Amino acid sequence: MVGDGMKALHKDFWMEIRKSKVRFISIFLIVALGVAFFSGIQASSPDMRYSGDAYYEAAKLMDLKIQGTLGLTQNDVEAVSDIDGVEMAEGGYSTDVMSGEDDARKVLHLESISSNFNLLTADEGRIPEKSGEIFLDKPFAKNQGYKVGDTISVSEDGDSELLKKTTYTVVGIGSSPLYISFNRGNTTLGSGEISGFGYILPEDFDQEAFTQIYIMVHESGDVISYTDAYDNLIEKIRKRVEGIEKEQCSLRYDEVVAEANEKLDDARKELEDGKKESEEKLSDAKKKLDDGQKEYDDGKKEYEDGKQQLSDAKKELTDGKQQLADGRQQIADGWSQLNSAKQQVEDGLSQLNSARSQLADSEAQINEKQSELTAGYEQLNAAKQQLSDGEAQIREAEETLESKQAELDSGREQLEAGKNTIKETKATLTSQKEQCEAGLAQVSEGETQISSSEEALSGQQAQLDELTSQKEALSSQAAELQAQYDAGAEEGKTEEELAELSMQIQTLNGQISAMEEQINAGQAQIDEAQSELTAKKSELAQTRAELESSLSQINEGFSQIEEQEETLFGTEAQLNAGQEELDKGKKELEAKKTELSAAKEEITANQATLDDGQSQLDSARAQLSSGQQQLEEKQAQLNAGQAEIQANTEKLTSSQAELDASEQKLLDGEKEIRENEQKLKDAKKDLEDAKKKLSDGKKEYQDGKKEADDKIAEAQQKIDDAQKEVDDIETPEWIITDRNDLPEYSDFGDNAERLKNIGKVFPMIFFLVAALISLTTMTRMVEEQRTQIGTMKALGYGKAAIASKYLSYAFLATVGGSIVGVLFGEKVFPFIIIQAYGIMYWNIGDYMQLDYEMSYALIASGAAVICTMGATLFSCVKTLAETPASLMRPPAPKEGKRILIERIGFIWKHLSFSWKSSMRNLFRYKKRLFMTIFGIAGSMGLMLVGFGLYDSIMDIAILQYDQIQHYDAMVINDEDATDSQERDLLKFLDGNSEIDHYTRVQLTKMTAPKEKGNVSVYVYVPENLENFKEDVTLRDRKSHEQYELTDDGAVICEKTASLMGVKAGDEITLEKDNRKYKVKITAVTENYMGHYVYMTPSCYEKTFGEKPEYSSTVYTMKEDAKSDLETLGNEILKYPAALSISYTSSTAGQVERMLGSLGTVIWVLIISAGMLAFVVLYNLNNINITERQRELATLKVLGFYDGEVSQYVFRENILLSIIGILVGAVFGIFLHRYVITTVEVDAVMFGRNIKTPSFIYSGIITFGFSMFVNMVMHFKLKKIDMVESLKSVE
Amino acid sequence: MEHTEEYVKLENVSKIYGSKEVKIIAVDEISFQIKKGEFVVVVGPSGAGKTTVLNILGGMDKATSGNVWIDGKNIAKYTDRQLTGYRREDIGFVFQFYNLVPNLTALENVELALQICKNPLDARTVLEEVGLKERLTNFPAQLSGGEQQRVSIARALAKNPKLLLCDEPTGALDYQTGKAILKLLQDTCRERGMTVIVITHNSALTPMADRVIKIKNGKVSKMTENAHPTPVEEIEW
Repeated sequence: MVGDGMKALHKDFWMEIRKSKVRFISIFLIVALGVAFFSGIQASSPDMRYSGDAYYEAAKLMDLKIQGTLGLTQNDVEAVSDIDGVEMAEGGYSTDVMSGEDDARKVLHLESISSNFNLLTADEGRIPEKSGEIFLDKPFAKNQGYKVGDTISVSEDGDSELLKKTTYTVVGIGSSPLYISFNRGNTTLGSGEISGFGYILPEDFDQEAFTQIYIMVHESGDVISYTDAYDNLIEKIRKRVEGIEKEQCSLRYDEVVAEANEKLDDARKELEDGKKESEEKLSDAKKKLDDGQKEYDDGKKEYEDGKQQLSDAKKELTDGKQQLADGRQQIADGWSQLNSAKQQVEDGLSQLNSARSQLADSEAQINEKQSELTAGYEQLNAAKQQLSDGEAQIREAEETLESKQAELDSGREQLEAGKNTIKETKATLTSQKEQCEAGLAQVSEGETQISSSEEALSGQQAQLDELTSQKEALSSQAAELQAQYDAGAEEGKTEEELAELSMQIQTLNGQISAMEEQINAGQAQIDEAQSELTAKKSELAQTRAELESSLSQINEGFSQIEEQEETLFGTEAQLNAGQEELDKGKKELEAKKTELSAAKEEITANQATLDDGQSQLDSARAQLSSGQQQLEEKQAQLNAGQAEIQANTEKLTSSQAELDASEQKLLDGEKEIRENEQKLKDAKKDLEDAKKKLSDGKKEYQDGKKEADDKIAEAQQKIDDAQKEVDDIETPEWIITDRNDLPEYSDFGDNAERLKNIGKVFPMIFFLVAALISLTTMTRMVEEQRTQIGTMKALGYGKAAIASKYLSYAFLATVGGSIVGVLFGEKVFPFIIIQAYGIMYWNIGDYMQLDYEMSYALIASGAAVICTMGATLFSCVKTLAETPASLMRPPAPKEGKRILIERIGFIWKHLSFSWKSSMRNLFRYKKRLFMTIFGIAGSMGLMLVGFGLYDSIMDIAILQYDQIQHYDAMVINDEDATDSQERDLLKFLDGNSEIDHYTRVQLTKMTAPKEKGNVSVYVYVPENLENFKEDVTLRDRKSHEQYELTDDGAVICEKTASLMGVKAGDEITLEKDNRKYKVKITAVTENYMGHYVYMTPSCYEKTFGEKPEYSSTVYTMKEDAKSDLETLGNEILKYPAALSISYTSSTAGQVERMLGSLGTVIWVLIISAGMLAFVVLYNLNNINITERQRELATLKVLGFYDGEVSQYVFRENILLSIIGILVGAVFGIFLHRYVITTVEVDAVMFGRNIKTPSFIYSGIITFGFSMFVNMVMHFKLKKIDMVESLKSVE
Repeated sequence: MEHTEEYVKLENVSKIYGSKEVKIIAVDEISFQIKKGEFVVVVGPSGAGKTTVLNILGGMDKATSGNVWIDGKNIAKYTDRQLTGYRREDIGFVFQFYNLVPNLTALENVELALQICKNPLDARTVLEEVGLKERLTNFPAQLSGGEQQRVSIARALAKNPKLLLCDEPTGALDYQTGKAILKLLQDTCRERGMTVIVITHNSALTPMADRVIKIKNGKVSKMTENAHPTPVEEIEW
């Protein structure tokens, strides 16, 4: 039963793996990747050491090397061989020589071949077998173009003669274990740098003593190089060798000194003989010289006398010439005076004439003026007459005007009286008229009353007339009625009717009678009134007539008065007119008066002007007569002058004739003197010839003497030097070196060490990510299978049985992955890396040892298993602790929680629900958040390091040669060149127009010992500090603060400082000729290639106690001549003083080589990082989607399209990717910094900065992986089945 | 053209799962029709095919054969994308286990459904109507089962769908709460004139429906119309 159960479980287990292939494989792969990377890179370090050791052993690389300052003897070799622990010792020869033609002179290190030590590997040809054959260094042969079969000639330094031959045939090309990389070590020859090595047979060396002894230590093959075990073993033997050093050295000393003293004595004897001989020869020569001198002195005296006579005669002649010239001058002066006098006379005459004509003009003018004046006087007198006439007239007119005025005044008085009378009369008349008119008005009123009364009367009359007519009508009626009555009575009318009619008639009659009465009475009244009226009328008419007559009288009076008034007005007008006329006359008079007075004034003025003119005229006349007087005088003077001139002319002509005669005399004298001069000159020439001969003889004598002295002195000096040398011979020392002193031997070990460091960081990150991912995956798996676990539990399976399924699952995946990882990683990664380093250490690459390092394998696998299993166990235990029932229920869903960002209202409100949900999801699944960020940041960081490494190496080229070292090339001088050869070279440099500037420098390679090993540094001393500023920039890498080179101490490079563990202010020790010197560090400067110690000349002198030797010259081309750099270089090399030239630009090749060896590592990093990013994202996304399947299905049911659902999930991924990339960028910067400092080799410093494009590339690639995973996930999301997902609760 | 009489109409709808060898016929040639605004209860024992029918009606699943007419359109012929659109615009779903998005609040859960739909109702109002005025900002985990189901109903209603499909809406709820939820559904049907289809295995609920469809073994065994449905309050089970 149990067996069956187990069987079922087994089946379930295998089914589970098959069902969840993806999960299994992903754990498997990620563990494999992590383990491979971790153990592989870690294993690379020991593998490198093994490979190195294998090579050293195969090539029988020496363990120790002894060099003696006085050489070594066979005796020494035997003594060393006898030391306990020394397996073998062998003496050998070596020397440094120059090879090649002028332009390409290189230093070659020649060594003797041994079959017991340092076996050569021939890539071409064979090892030399007979004398005259040479085995050459491979890079050297390649660079210099040597092939097997070629010949190579070498030359030794100075007077040393260590080689038997100078020409060798190349029989083999290959490598020596002493040189594992490019560096060939240093020398005192040429540039100080050895370019290559060559091996020849020991027979080709002509040396009495060995230069070195190689020692093989017993059992050294059993320990691995670069381990402490090896170092300790070697140290032990070294101590023993040092033990016999003193004894062996003193033996050697005695031998050497005795030999030297013998040679010295011989030399001294030779010198004495030579001295004696030369002294005799010299005294003979001296005697001859003295005789010659005496002869010469006599001749010289004679010559001097003749010379004196000649100069006296010359003087006389000169004086005579002077007198003659003076006389000539006087005559010429006389002529010129005469001429000027003539000129003056002529000028005076012409002046006189012009003055005369002026005088005549003036006289004419004066006469004209006089006549004008006379006329003016006449006019004036006439005007005066007129004036007095005018005055008389005015007086007369004034009188007339006064009488007229009186008349007018009396007329005006009369007029006033007449006016008053008229006014009175008018007033009387007016009152009378008013009275009359009032009377007339009364009359008219009376008449009106009368006419109205008359009208009333006629009314009454009309009434009466009417009454009368009514009475007549009544009467006619009464008559008619009567007639009717009558007719009635006839016709028979009734009585009654008749009665009635009669009644009517009667009434009528009565009425008629009454009427009649009335009419009568009325008529009487009217008549009475009529008469009264008539009386009144007549009365009125009378009154009216009277009034009207008086009125007409009054009116007549008025018209009379008016007449009078008119007359008065006429008189007045006449008066006024008269007045006006009078006033006018007065005015005219006044005007006339004014005119008159003005005329008077004018006349007075004219009188004055005229008088003035007269007086002027008078004075002008006086001047005129005096002018005439003067003219007469001038004329007389001129006449006298002319006479004088005539006399002088005659005098001058006679003196001229005298002068001509004396000149002839002088010319004759001159001729004589010239003849004498020629004679003297000839004498002088004879003298000079004699003198020259004499001095030549003297010089010859001096030279001979000097030569003899020099020779003697030189010989003496040589003897002294030799004596000094012999005296200076110190007890020799042994220089004992081991493998660490070989060029780049320790670098290889350092590189292995460095790789170990990289192995600690990189794969650790990788491994961590891998472990975390598998951990998450397993945890998730257990959680997913909750229900199943519950069921199993309910069915009664034990906890162990249930858990074993998951543990086995994890175990199988992890262990499987680990095994594959170890198998793959420990072979592939070391292979790639050693292969990469093989570019630099090519010999070692051939001895590649790729062993499985079980320790690393176990550490990596163990860690992977423990992580995954631990996580699985933890989840299982947690889950299994729950009851079956609770397991069958779904796990309590994770609570939604508010996140911080929600509190920032304005951001939150603007987010869509999808964003809100995404944000909350991110924080809800914190584990996933951190895992994803960690994973992406990790891969981003790794990738950034990859790109950053590339940048850093590129920086070397860019920064070093763009910003730090500015000179274009360096000329290394030939040490053997003479001063004049050096001057020729400098002259050429000075005169070349393509060179901007050049600086002579001392560039010496020295060793600076540090705690463990050495650093090779170049001591750089510029002659000219101003130029140095342009050649090399000294600055701080970070702040770019510029430094000055001062006499206080040296400036050293950053890398040098960090290797030595020193800083500004410390001291650095430099080894020169095996002596140690200390110098203070004033600053540490940015530098990427090589180690430099910069010093000023005086600082150098202070430090080393000697003046710097400027054996190199750096120069910079002008901007536009850069392309001619090499052409110029070749020209420079034609000068014997120039040994070689190194161009700054050619160093670019070195950088490229470095990129080559690291390029592989970089690509490994980038590809691994990319894979990491992909695996992490895929895995985490997978988990995310499974975990949230229900939620996603719900979205689908709600009608979200596939794209929308994907977006819902991807938003989180994108956010996480971006955060991861940002974190990774920061992380990468630090990782890069760490990696750079561990990876770089001693000679170079890599750039410390990652460039922006690298950030961009890494970011884009990482993001690209993220997007790719999203794409894959999109299809996975599409496949989510709504019905299945929502069917039941899991 | 109105399809009031045959608002929902299934014609010989079948759903067959599995391969050729092992066929599982979940729904077998089913046909029925529902009028607009009816409250329909679909009853039947477990595994009778009720949920499959509902899934087909809701566009979550496709019929193997037959026609499904919803308001005059045959969704059986729809492509996947059309079906998604159909779910988006025309269907409201209420599940037994609510299926709320756990990290959105009640209000946000409703709004989530609304943001993709054309003529939604106001989320806040609908939530108030289902009696959750005080619980708008609570997360699902902070709500009781009944409250979660109300949110779920609100989410379905707020879309203003043609059909409200409820799959065992009271299945995970206690008696009283279940009753309240059913009342909410019935009221919704009456007040809004919405066509509501409720799936349940509880035959006691049949009196409350306008139409009862009984399904057995993938076939309609009986379909009755209630002229006078009983209010939920009066039903006991």
